[in-house]
Amino acid sequence: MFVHLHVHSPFSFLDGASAIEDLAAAAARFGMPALALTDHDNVGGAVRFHRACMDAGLKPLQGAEVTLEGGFHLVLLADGPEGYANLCRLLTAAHLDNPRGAPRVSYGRLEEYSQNLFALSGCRRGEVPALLLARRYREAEQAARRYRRLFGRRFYLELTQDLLPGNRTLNRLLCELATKLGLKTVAANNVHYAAREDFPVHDLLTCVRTGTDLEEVHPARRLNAENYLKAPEEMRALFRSYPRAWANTLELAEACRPALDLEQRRRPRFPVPDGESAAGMLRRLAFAGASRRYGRLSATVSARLEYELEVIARLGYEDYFLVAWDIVRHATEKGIRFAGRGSAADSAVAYCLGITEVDPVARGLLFERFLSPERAEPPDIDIDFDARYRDQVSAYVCARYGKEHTAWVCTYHTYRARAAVRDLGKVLGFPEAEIDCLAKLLPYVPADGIERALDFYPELHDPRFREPRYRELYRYCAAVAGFPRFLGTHPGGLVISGVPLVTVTPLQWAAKGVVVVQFDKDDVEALDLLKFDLLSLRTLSAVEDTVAAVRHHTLDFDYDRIPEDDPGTFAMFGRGKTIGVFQLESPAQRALQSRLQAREMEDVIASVALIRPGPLQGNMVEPYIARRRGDAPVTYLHPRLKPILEKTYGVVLFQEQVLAIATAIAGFTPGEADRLRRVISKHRSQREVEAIGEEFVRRAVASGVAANTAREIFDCLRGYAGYGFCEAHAAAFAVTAYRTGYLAHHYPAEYFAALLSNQPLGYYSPRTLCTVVKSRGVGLLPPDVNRSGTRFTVEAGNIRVPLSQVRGMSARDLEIILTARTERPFRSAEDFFSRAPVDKDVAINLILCGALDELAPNRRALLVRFRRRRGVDGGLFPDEPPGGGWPDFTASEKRCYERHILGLDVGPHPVARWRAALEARGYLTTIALEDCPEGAPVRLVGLPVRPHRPPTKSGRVVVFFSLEDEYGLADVTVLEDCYRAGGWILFAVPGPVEVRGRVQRRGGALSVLAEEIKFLEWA
Amino acid sequence: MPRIVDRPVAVVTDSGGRPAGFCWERGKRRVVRIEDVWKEAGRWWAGETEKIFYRVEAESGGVYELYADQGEWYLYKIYD
Repeated sequence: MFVHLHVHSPFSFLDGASAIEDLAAAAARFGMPALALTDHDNVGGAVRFHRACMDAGLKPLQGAEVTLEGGFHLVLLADGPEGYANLCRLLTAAHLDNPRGAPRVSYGRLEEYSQNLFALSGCRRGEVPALLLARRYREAEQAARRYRRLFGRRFYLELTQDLLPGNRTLNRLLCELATKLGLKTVAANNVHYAAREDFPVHDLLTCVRTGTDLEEVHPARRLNAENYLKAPEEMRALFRSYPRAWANTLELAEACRPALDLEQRRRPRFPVPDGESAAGMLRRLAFAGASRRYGRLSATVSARLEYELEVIARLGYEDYFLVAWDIVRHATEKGIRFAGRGSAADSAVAYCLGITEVDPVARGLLFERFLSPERAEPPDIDIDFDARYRDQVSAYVCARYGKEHTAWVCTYHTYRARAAVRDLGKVLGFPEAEIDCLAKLLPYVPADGIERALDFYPELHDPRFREPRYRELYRYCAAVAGFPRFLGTHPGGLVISGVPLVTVTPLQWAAKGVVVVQFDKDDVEALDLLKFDLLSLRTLSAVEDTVAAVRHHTLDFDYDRIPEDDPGTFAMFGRGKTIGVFQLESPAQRALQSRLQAREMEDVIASVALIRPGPLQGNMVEPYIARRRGDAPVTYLHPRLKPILEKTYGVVLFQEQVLAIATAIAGFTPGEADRLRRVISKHRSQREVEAIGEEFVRRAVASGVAANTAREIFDCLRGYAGYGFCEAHAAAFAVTAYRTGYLAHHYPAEYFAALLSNQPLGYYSPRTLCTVVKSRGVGLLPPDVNRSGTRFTVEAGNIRVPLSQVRGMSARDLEIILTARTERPFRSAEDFFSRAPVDKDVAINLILCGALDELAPNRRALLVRFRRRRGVDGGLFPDEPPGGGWPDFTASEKRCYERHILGLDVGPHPVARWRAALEARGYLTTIALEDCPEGAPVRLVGLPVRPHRPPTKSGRVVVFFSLEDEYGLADVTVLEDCYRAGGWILFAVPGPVEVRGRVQRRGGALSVLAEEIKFLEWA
Repeated sequence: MPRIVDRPVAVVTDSGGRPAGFCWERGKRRVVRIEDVWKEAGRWWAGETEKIFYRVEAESGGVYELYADQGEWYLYKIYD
């Protein structure tokens, strides 16, 4: 039997054209007993490959084709975990000792880590074959002798018969060398795709990799379609002259011991004090924290802590909690703001350790949602940090546990529709403008979903996109769907390992300049490498900035002691004025706030959980609001549900409630209940859902619940649980949501200045935030070379635009201006130009956006003076006009320049300049809209903000967007007919639009139901 | 220097479908040795099909490149 020992997958980055699962399936179909994976310089596909092989009944042989110094290739296969560790060490050194993107294994390292590795001489880029092809026979022999010395009998000369010119001669020479040196040969096919038909995809990807198009010749492009996963008989026929090389593949595969051990424990150990165990230390800290949190401990709290500690110890996660405790302890010591999020808030131990701020005992939160004794999944502690200091925290962690034990989790950016169209369209020779147009119109869909998108989205109905050449492009896009395109850094996942990381994963540089493992978050979990999500949350940075600004005038302001019952804040929520408020600012959230009329923190927690794709699709919002408002009775299917669902008015809103219901109604253990939640929430097979449903009903009946009621409850769980939200997470977010709402209401200038300084942040652009803050009575002051700094600041209740907002402003230019200004203020424009010699284009932008208005109010005259001074081409204004003196730009011209240079409107909103004409034609403003009755026909003009099409239960398209004018935003709903008739322009072409429609009022929420949307033709 | 010809020629093949002889310049050339064989995908995107190339040594001592394309044989190159 034959085994393929040299195989590339898409993890060879544009040099593998078949999914790992397809390669494994092909090998299994041919009855092969094993398969190797040898991607270029990485093992990123190892876990997936391991699983695919296990599923297909194959023995996985883990390896890589490494690039040596000098650029030669060498195929390495790991024999057992020791070999795999050495492979990881070699790859790590190759990446970290060399510039990013150019890994090279040195011969010194090869000597150091050659144990337990099989080596194959490789393809034509292997050192021995390359030297033979170059007729440098003596050097080829020397190289082969060197590899023999390093690997001994584990070094094989690789024969390839992929029908390239020179193959016959090369194989003959390799065999002669093998005989001379007593080496073995092995047959291979340098596989780059599963089937012959996949060759065009590989050729296209090679063109993407080499930056060529199809008509260009490049040595990296394969001459023929022979590098597929050939059947054993086909390989036997090709190697009929070398039967031993064919047979040796099996011998080698059998000699390779399994390399990747997914069962090994690799969790970190926390350095506990001498004489204390991790469990003991955790207990001590948890109870000490409990005393601080609760004062005198009740029996309930004590029992809860005892239970959690017992489960944590049983599952072996004491160190994990201690590590998390140590991280937040450090942040607290350094004054770095943080907030625990996610299901960790279901843990009383996490609360007592100061990791989270939600009291799970008081809220009745179930620990099993976070950590289940019957679930094999590791816990997940996510902590948000002030974005500016997150790296300080991670640096502390790296120093504490050592560089050898910590690294960031990577992400694989995979091909989706847009990237596939851009990359493959370019290679196929499509004009750049055409590809750009299509890519911009494509929604966020998978690369194999383009044809469906074409039929569905009217903005893609251009007949050109249906031409055969485009159809061919879509076919190739579908073929690369999900293939990794490049490796990136996970936004917050930091791995802390109990064993040196280089024994589990290669490490490499990411573009951000940090060291990452070669596995993504799912694979990291499979390897039992614990991941801590240390996330950057810019909202916390904005909070810190706001607090600092507020303390300029209110010295004792304490963000952590903001009253939870502030009527002004809740009133603002009730008016739907929540733009800028964490988690509550989207159009759907604003509409919900207007209808819900929140009165307490519980309402905010429910709000956070309600506006999610799931609850919206599951029609949970309407019953909840009706019951909350008293418009519908609060009922329960069974009296035992009342204590569980009382706080959500009888509606199943949180995942924890599903667990509690399964326990209360059917007597499920907490672990069984969590399994039920996962079965129905992860949309597994219908059979599995029905099986657990039958069990639920059977056990509910046994506990005295009527069968039909039990079925009804299960149907209800099935309907809702798929969409449910983690209460602990909602509660953790709600605290920040409410408090930022308080800041927005009481300190709008300080808070919005902070939001603008910490962009990108939140749902809206700086331009929209400026419109909103102006509508709150806060003025926006233009940048000023004597007053503006690096961040948005508050001046007498107004917000000053910083110099850093000016397009093209570099840190160096900013430093020049601020340093010169420290000496003395600029007295004139000429004084500015002579003492602050910034980049020419930056200087021009400063003039055009008004940053020098206080020194020289005529921007055009100043521009001409500056150009003459710098000897810059006069451009549009080469000569002094007759009569002398330059007229300044018009107000409209100034606004255009400001918008372009600053990305926001310091002066009037763009729609304001048409207002007189609009009023004369009967168009309303967004503010006048508020006085319109239900059903009133209206016409508005504005800039569309964030049009989006959330998924709906019916599958029909509903578009939501906000229309922005000089007074604020109006929310617009577009139903499918209107969308198809012309509403699609929202996704096609930017610019102001006209909306004709009718006013909708739903319990305080105001919106416009669009009947027609069109371009503002005369704008 | 090799000379590119790229013209159809009559070829006699052996039982394995390999060239055993061909006609060129009004003379029959018997193939005494196949030096190399390889495949080329060509411009697949333009509809070209895969070709099998043979570099052969004729009895006369000359070296030639022949290829088969959809059943037709061509003399591609002559090595002088």
